[in-house]
Amino acid sequence: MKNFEKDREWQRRLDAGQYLRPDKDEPGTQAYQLLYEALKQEPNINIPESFAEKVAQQALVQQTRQGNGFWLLSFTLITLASIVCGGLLFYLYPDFIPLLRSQISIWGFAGLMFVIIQVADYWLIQRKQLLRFS
Amino acid sequence: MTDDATLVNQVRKGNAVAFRQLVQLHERLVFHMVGRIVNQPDNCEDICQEVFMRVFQKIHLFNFQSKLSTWIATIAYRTAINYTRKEDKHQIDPLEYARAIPDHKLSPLAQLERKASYTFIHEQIALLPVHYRTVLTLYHLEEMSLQEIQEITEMPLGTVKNYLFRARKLLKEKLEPQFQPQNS
Repeated sequence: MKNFEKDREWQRRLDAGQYLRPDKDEPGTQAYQLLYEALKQEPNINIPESFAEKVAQQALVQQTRQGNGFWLLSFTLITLASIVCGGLLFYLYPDFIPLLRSQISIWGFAGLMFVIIQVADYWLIQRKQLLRFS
Repeated sequence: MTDDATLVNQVRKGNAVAFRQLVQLHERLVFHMVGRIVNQPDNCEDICQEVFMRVFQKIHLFNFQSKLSTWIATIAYRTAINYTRKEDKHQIDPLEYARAIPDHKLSPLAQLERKASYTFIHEQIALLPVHYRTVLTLYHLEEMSLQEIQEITEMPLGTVKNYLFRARKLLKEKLEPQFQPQNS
């Protein structure tokens, strides 16, 4: 019990930044002094120089993958929604298809522009992110 | 010097240079923690990489309630602890530790003749139970407060203090024999 109290007191003093005077009759004081010095020493660790670069690259790959997934999901949902809407229109308004056919060039142009804008936006964002790395 | 808020906001915007800077600023902390907790140098780099990938994935959840380093240390702690749970053969409980190494009635001195004292102490730290190693590393090496350690490890403050006290006492007992007066 007495030793326990001594340990507590020595640790309290060292935590407060005090120096423990070496005492021949108390080997614990010297042991603690050495221990506290050693605990501040950095262990032998080996951090590769390129570690941060490697992790950042991996993060980019992950981000791009997530972006691809988002793009694919969006595309799938839009396509499905278009098919459903088209089906409903055809069912509810049988004259819709002839009307669409009569203005096919306008609809085709609008659709094409939509796809071009989406693709351009996607590639430009991705390219920008890649350039940030270099 | 970039402050935490600026750095975090840049990383959230997808700025890879900012993320690289974040990694560079905290890699030593993460390597120290993971290295001490996992005790397997071969796997340390992979686990540290996993830690930073989690940081990247969860950066939007960081709410500036604590320091960025504390938040990253929390992720590092959880990742490393989960790893050691999977590999629980590396866990040693405090009582086992006391038996794991002979008491070195004379041998610490002999060991110190071969190696530097600090190396000897670091070897002893590696044999401590994982929670002892963690609190020692965070308190002494990373100079974190007891409250920060409590936040990272989610241990009660009393437990943190107790582990710290016991860990240092155990290490002191391993060192003590070399300072014993010679009886001859």
